[in-house]
Amino acid sequence: MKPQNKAQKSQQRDVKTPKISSKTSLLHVGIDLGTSRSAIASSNGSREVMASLVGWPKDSVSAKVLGGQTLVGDAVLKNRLALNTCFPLKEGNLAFTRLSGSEQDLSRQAGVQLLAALRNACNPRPDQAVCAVIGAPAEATRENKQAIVDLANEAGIEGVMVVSEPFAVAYALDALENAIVIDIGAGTIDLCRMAGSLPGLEDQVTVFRAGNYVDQRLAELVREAHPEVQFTSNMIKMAKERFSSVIDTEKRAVVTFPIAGRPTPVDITDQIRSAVEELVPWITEAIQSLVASFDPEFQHLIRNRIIVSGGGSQVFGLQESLEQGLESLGGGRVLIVDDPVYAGAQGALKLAQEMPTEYWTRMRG
Amino acid sequence: MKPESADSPLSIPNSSVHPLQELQDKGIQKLRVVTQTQLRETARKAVSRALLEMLDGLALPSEQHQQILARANQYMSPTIATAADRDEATEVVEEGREVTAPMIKVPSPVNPPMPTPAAAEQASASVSDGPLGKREKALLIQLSKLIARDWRTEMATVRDTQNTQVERLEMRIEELTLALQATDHAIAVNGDLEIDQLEVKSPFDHKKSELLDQLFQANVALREISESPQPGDLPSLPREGRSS
Repeated sequence: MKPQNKAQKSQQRDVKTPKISSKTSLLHVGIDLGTSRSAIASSNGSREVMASLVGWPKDSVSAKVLGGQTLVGDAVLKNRLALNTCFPLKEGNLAFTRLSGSEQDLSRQAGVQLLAALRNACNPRPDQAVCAVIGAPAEATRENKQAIVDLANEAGIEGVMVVSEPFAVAYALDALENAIVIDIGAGTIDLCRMAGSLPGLEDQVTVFRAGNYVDQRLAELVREAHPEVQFTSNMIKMAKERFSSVIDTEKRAVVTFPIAGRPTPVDITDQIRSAVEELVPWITEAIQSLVASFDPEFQHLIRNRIIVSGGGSQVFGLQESLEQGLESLGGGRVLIVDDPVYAGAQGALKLAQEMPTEYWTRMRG
Repeated sequence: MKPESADSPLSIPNSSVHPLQELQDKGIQKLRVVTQTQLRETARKAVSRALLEMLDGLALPSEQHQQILARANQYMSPTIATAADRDEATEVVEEGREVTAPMIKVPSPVNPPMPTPAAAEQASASVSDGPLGKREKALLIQLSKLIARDWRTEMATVRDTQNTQVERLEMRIEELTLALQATDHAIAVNGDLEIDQLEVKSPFDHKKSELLDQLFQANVALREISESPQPGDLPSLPREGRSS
């Protein structure tokens, strides 16, 4: 169902950009706009992470049950049977830029709703103008970056700057020189080489095989091994996040999936390991390309400072597997950030806060 | 333990009589035998002593004051127990078995430790002949209660406890004040040094302003291009992601 009813139109009006002249102070926010989950951190101390998912009631009954409202975030997952759902981002980019017609309108509106929900999660005061630095994939297209700015403005975010997501992580960690930052998300794996300046085209690589690809491969492998098992993509995703591992452990990944309607324990350890391991060669290949094209005199420095962030960084054993993969390049050292879910948003917030006020004034004008 | 029989010569409410064997079973090996007269004398002395202590704080006419004082001093004088008095303690405890002083008066533990009514009655009877009989009786009852509560000891205990707490708090405040002064001093002395150290710890700070400026310029360019009338004919930007 399209966002045509009265309640939805009312919500659309609610997220229109307020008059800038009425704002007397700034609220800085950093946003990690992810394919699967999006995070926001603000200068008033609030932090929030939510599923990048928007849902509208399927019919009048569900509209009545849900109050006729558009749902955003994890609430959509809980009520998805009564909703038409939409992921506004695909492979790290806003999906509507690749769509047309009514699908494009729907996807675009979902993007606005998601950004509005993130903005509202920070509880800005009425007199505060929200100024955001938003992380985008390392190789985001110009059209996609501009689409992010437009949708953010529509969502009530007055000042918007777009930055490469791994660069935001690097800025948060002060790893601005001689480092490679890897952001493993659901849609993409973004790699960014930091050489003391704003990373350019040659400094960034995006791998379009990430968490969602693992989910897809895991579903295929489970279906091959246990054709009688019933599952959904969400069940596969939850199983992966709970048991993901790329090295041998004695712990077995046993999940309960229905078989002919009867809950049955199923061992999917081997399938998870195989699906996750498929990512490692892609990452090491991307690292190699960034190292090989770097100044030979400093290659050993960036090899020994590889920082991994994002939800995918929590895969058990990834650190060791990547270091093994770097052996062919002469070895390297891989570091996992402490707060992978919010590292990008915190870096973006740091950028927003340290950006001179006059820059924000110009961006808002 | 069994209730005291009603026909006992020393009937005291809320007290009980214990067979000797029961006490021995409980590990009691020795008993002190006190005659009724000795008990009476002890009670009189205790009441008189309390009366003397209270007398200074009472606003009484001097004549009455002197009378009470004289009566109290009278009871404070020592007396000699007679053989008859000792015989009063002899009592048949069990059926047909006569023992000397096997009876032990044990006040009930559930009741407050008040002077035995027998002693109180004796003291009351001894002073009821005077002109202040009723007043004395009231005073004696009050005094008995005060003595039972041991209010002086209780008050002293509370005062000591409070004094200890106050002293401890004063010492703690003094310690914290000294610590605060030391901290202020350290901050004042090392403030500049710490700022210098922080600057040394962030070697890329000098590049940050340049990075922020580059980021700002890239976003301004992005905005200007999007506002151009022909977005399809866009020149590439030096610091922009590649187009698909």
